[in-house]
Amino acid sequence: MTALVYGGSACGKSAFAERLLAACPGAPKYYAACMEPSGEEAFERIRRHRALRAGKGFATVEAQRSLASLPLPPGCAVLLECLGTLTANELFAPGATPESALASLRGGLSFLARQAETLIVVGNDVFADGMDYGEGTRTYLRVLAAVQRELAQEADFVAEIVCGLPIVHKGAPELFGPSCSGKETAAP
Amino acid sequence: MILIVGGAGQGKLAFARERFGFSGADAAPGGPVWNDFHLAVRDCLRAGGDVAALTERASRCELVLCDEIGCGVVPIDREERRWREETGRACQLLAQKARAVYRVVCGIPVCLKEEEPC
Repeated sequence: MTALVYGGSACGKSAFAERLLAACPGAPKYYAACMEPSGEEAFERIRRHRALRAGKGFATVEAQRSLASLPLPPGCAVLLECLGTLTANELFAPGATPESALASLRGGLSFLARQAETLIVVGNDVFADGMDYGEGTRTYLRVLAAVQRELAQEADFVAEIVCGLPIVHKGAPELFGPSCSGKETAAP
Repeated sequence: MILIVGGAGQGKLAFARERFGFSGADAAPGGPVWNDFHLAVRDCLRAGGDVAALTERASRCELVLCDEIGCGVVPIDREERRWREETGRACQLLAQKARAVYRVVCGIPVCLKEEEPC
């Protein structure tokens, strides 16, 4: 089972995705972290997300690129965070081309989808600002949009998150467990 | 007329092709499909043209595709601001006139308006 959970920055997509991971079938449960741990801002973000995940029993696995070689056991559950970061890592790696980045992203995601009982991917809504940031970023947006579209097509569940609330575009959150109705949930 | 909006790269043309059987070739000038309407608004503004007349012409098409461009920070540049505002207002008009409006997200069409089954 595959889910795509996406939205703008700080919309609550991570917290919603973690609720899905906590409730979904599959074990053990992994948090696949795409962010390169470098720089104060990254560390601060990582600290905040670690605090969010504390006590939930997710094992963190570093997932900066080439996900097809991640050592994950069959039948596990994986929350991948996030597609925008992963795409940047793949596309802007030394020697990478848009084609090689796309191939690595597709290979990695299809590996995870096969290997995991449940795969939850956090995506990004960065396509509606009318800005032209130049060739490099245009390519980045094109690759990210393509991967996200393809993932949405394969996914059993797609939700856009706004102010922490899901707008469900495909499937139903109950697929992941009775506690994922998308209605207001009690604090853990 | 049917209006299809969505962010860049979300699959608007692919949806138009699959659901309504239009191809990229139908989007030639004067054809039944007006693709990238937001770019036409930009060109019109740059040329000092009449966006209302442009929108009226678009409303007579069978299908209008337009990028959503208004979800970023308001740009400092006056022309950039004007482009977003005129495109947004034009889309509101087109949506009023349209018999159906779809927003495509991650390749998934979300129906915003449907007066009759399409």
